[in-house]
Amino acid sequence: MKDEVFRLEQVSLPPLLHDIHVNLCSGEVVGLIAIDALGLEELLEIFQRTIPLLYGHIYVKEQLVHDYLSTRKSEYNVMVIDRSSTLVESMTVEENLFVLRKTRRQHLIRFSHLSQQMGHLLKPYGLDIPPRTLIQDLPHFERLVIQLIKAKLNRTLLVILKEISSFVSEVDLQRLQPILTQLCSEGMTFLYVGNHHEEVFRFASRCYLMREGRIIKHLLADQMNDSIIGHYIFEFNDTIDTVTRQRHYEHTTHDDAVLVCDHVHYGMIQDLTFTVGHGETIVLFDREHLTITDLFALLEGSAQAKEGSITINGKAPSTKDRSIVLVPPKSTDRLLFNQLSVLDNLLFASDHKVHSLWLSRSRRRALGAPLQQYFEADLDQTVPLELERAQRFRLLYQRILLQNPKFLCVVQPFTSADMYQRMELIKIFDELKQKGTSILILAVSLSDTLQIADRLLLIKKGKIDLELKRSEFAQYQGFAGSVPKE
Amino acid sequence: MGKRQAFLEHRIILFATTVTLLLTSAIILPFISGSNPLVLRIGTLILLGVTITIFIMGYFTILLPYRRSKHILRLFASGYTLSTIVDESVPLNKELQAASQMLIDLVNTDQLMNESKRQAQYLALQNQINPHFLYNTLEGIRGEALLGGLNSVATMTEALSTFFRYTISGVENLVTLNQELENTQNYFFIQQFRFGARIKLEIYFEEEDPEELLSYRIPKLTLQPIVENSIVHGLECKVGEGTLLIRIEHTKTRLLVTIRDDGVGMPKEVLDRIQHHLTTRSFEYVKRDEQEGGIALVNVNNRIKLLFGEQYGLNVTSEVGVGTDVVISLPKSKEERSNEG
Repeated sequence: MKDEVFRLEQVSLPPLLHDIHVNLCSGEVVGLIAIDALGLEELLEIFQRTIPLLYGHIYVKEQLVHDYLSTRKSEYNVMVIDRSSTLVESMTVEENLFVLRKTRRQHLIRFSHLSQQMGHLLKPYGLDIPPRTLIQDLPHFERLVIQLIKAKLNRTLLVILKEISSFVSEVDLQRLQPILTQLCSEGMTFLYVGNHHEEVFRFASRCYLMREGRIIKHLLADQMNDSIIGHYIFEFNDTIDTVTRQRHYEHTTHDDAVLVCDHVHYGMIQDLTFTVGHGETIVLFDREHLTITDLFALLEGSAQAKEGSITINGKAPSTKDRSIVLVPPKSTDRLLFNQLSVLDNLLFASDHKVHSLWLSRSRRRALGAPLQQYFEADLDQTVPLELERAQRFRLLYQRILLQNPKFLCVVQPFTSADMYQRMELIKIFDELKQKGTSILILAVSLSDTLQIADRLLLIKKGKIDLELKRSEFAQYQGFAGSVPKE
Repeated sequence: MGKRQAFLEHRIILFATTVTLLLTSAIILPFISGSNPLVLRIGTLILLGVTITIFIMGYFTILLPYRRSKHILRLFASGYTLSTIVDESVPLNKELQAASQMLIDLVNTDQLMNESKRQAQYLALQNQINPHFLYNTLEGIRGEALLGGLNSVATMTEALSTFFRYTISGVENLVTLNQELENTQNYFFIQQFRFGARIKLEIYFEEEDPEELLSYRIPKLTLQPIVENSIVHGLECKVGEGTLLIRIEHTKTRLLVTIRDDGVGMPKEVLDRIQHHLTTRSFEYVKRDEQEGGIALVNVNNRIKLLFGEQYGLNVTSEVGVGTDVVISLPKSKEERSNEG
């Protein structure tokens, strides 16, 4: 008999969610793949707290806890683990695990006792953390496991793992698998939310597919394969597998080096040497998630290499240079300005191309007019905050297209992007490549980066371990992501 | 319901009277307090306290019930729910309550006639399947007879008569899952004379020992119409082999039966139409063109919801090229009863 933990019965919240039927049972990892992002955030919110519904019933442990008539506000014992950690960074692991608990009654803290308890608790999961270690000093993977253990201690009904491949490396994802199996055997329930079926299928025992705010398929174990999922993502495959597109990648040469990274040593980077040619796209793949932050800091110019040098077009990198664009993680939050209109955001980095751009409203409008077709709202009257997530994403990349940089570096570009956004991104990267932009992609999970890459550089222990050309990509089948067809 | 009904209209009148009195008091207070500022202050504070209390009570006893009633009526009008209009705890007034009661009576009268209506639906359903069904089966018999193999003709005829006997008698009864599965297998066996090895049926139980599962009771003719729908609209049109899977599992309170085919699947507009009929309560679907398909699904769904409540019923997902999944959610019960009225 299945021990049902959570059930959504005909939950409707138009226009975002329609007739959602989901049931989650104890001791299982259930996947959730949103083919488009419509309604996903709302669905995850329904798992966390009571929100007004048009119709539907919500059951926890087979007891009705919320329905469309209920006005009561409450939160369920559900934990969401995503990029932003739920742990207090400035406190120790012991404090996060044992002190910050609703059920804790003791007022005196005996650290030696807590450290001992922590040791016992972490041992089965292969973690060995010294006593009194601050959360901020832990790598992403260990933070993730600490959150899982905290959820276990708090007897959390459901743990939602949201796009964890965006901050946990591929090696760590492999380490996570036995931990989840162990926690499932102890009766915990997980909802694994991801954009890549390869990744979700690896963890989940069954999987829900969501599109346009509806559950369109409940895939059981025997259906979780490429042939079935292919029917749901055929638009993506049709877009990226076009012959002309693949030929374009095969028949380009990249002679002049735009980015030169010459025997660089800094932080975890150990003797890193590579070049990115003119119009070339390179994926720098760090499976251990050790060097990405350091390398990005060097490219930003906010840090200096201990040894070796990095040059872009023969000069030291500088963020003031309009021929360089650096896109960090959470890019829409960091690179868009909500005090400016969408139009001003679009033209933000293009003032070097048009004389007195900021003095002439008519010039700005004229430049923005062709881009109005990509946005539903009036560009001049709207700020980025008023746009939907997908539109903010589009705004950022349209700005980059307008800026027309010579060098572009992006960290994890496909993170949190649904299928349609990924298709759009691939199109934009193709366009940039055609314009001759050299692109460096820094990634901890491959996602669809190989679809736009000419070369893949695998980093191990801070230096290049393996280099693959586009024709050799099929040799490397990553944990989650698509590989261009030969 | 048995609980005291406080009418919203009375509450509104009481609220308005109290607010009027408070306002009058607020106007009179400065005059009666004369030159004593202490009396004025205390009086103002009391008045303020009472006013705030009255407004908070007004929010919970008038505004919230009003919004709730509005929401129920909106859902009722859109066909989402029938029963909650009956359960409305704070009706606006006696007249509206009487009107609701009248409506309930009408629904109940409908339910009194429901047996005949259900029978009509069953008959409509049977009329829909019988000509095709009989024709194809008899074609099969004729073919077999032509070949001269009398044993297979006998087997086929026996299966057919067993199927008709089960289908026609005691439609109002709840039967065990085992009986329903046997009938479904029998139906599938007959269909296999037509399709041969092209179609396969697999039954999968979540439990290692399915005895317990097989003894739960479900409405008669719950599975077979859905299996028929899967064959006729899913597998028949498919080129090559097709598999039909019946998967049975249970939780503490529910029995879940999933019928999955890997047939041609439904186009989005057909699926949307069926899902609309599954989520709203009406008999409009019986008037529809029989060729459209999905009548069986809506019929089974309506029967389950009428019998067991709105939280049970069918959920359908489908994709062209992948197939169709129908999940039937039923309460777990071993109770022997008939589903009349």
